[in-house]
Amino acid sequence: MAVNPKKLRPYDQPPKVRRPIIPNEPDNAATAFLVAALVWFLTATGIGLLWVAYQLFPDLLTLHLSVPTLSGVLTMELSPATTASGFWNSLIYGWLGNAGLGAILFITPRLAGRRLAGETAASAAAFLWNIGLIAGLVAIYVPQLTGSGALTEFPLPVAGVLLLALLLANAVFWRTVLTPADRIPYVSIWYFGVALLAFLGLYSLITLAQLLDVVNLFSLSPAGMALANAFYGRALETLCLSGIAIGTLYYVIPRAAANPVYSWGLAMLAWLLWLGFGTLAPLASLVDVSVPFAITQIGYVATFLLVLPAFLVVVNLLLSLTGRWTLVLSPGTVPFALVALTFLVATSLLEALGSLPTVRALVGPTEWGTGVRLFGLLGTATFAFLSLADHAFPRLLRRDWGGTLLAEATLWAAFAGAAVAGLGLIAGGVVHGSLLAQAATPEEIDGFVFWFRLVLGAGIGLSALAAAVLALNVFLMYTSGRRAEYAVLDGSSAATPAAAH
Amino acid sequence: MTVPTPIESRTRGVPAWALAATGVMLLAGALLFATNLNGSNPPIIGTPEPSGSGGGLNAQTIIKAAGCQACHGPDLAGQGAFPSLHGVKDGPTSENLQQLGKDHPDDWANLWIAGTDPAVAGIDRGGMPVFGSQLSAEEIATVVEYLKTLP
Repeated sequence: MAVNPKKLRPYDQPPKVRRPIIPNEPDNAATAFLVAALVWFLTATGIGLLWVAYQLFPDLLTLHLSVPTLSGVLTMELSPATTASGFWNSLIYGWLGNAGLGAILFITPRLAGRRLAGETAASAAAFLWNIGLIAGLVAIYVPQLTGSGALTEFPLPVAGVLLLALLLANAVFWRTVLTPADRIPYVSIWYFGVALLAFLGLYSLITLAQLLDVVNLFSLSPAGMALANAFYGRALETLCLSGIAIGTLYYVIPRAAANPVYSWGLAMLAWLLWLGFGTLAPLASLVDVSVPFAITQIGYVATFLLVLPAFLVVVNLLLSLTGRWTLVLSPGTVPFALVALTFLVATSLLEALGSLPTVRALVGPTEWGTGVRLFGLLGTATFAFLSLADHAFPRLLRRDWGGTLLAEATLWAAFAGAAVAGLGLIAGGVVHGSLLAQAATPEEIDGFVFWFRLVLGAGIGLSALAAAVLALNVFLMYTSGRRAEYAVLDGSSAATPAAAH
Repeated sequence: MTVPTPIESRTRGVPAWALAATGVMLLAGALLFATNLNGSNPPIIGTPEPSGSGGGLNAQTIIKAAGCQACHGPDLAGQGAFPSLHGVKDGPTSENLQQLGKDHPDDWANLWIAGTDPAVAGIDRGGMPVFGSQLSAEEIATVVEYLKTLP
């Protein structure tokens, strides 16, 4: 029956639906983190191209742009130093940080069988994290705004905002998983827990050191600062990023294959070994006369032994695919995950090799380490999160992927990009080390290394292409993809059987 | 509305081959540690950077810690009465350092920053602090190497 709204009395009016300022529907925070991650992937690889250009032509492109503002002239500095800082920060915190936190917030409620405890706080964390990163990136390029110490590279207020976001993400995660349950948490939760605590702890420590430095209560010597930076950077990779990546792979592979994981005992053994060696491995970055050699040596041995948990993880997950190998042939979650596993093995083998004294002596002062680092970041972690993106976006946006062509383009461009960029620097490092051993002149060395940096540029370019294609694919899916329904979490805490999710 | 099923595992125990592999690797790690205990670490600051990188990271850490940017500007391009530190690759740009540059073409910048050598005793420092007691010769050399890469 049609109702004339003019004849309605006030109490007949339907209540107005008020949308909260911070969204609190299931998966809002995971969606925000993953979409932001995609934008940062594009940004990071774009800045990465500039980073390579500066390495190839360091003298030609330094630029100072003066922008008049109400409070004076702001100078934007586009130089090798600011661009390198912009690249690594946008790659690690922007792309991998956002994707990692998004993965945790997507996977945790599905494994715990209940909604996130604090959807609003999780969405606030996504907002703060990205606002902080944008401000931090601006501060890097406008040094007048920085006024920071050398530890976080971000100004203190920005570091505080990022810390608050990490605190919120930790609170939401732990409140969700610490609710009494009738079963031991799945192995992904164990990896996420360590990674989140380590991230919060490490970032708190360097922010605290920066704060004490600013208020003149405690100052690290230049050597102390360099050591703290090196330790933080390495621990971020071994504990946080690799932890979230492995936890993600433990989720997406059994889900995509609709198989149980091969062995619970094997998974927990690998987790324990990863926790132990991953905690000790950053000690290898403490290379200074003030640090006893035995401490650094413990770090090298732990780096060497990290190959063991990596190997156990890969075997466990490959055996979990038994009977579902045909999934490898079509683009999608499983091929992305398998490439991530390949990079995991390759990175840990290269790191183990690089920790041996003879190899260290050859490639120590070269770009080998950066190449292996790119293998881990653009290879293992990136592909783990790409596999999650393939699995999660249809469930978050309630749309099916359009076609396989763009997915294949993303897969191959990202694979070629990571492999070419990493191998370019690794091979360049070996050549550089050999030339140093032959006492070649700096000009001769630069002449050789130039070509390997050119290869690095091609690799970063391919990664940028992969990011652009993925963004296009997600855009097409959101605007014109076929609607699809997947099981979602409601407010109850009881798990009920559903289709493979 | 439903929630997904938890992920189960096919077996609960640890396979024997995994335990054996763990044992072998731990043994290899112990051997690696025991056979490589003799040595010493080089200094983290003052070691040359890979060729082409211009010593950027370490030099900038020292520059930040020493407070150079407070006078010479955040980008070291100079501010107010304080001169720019850019363009010093081929010699000093400030008037008062021209003679020092001619007398010590290779290490004039090291001597000037340190400020403790008799060669710079008679030159008006114009507010420039003496860094010889604050920074080591290696740290000053790292900074100078970096400054010479600035356009």
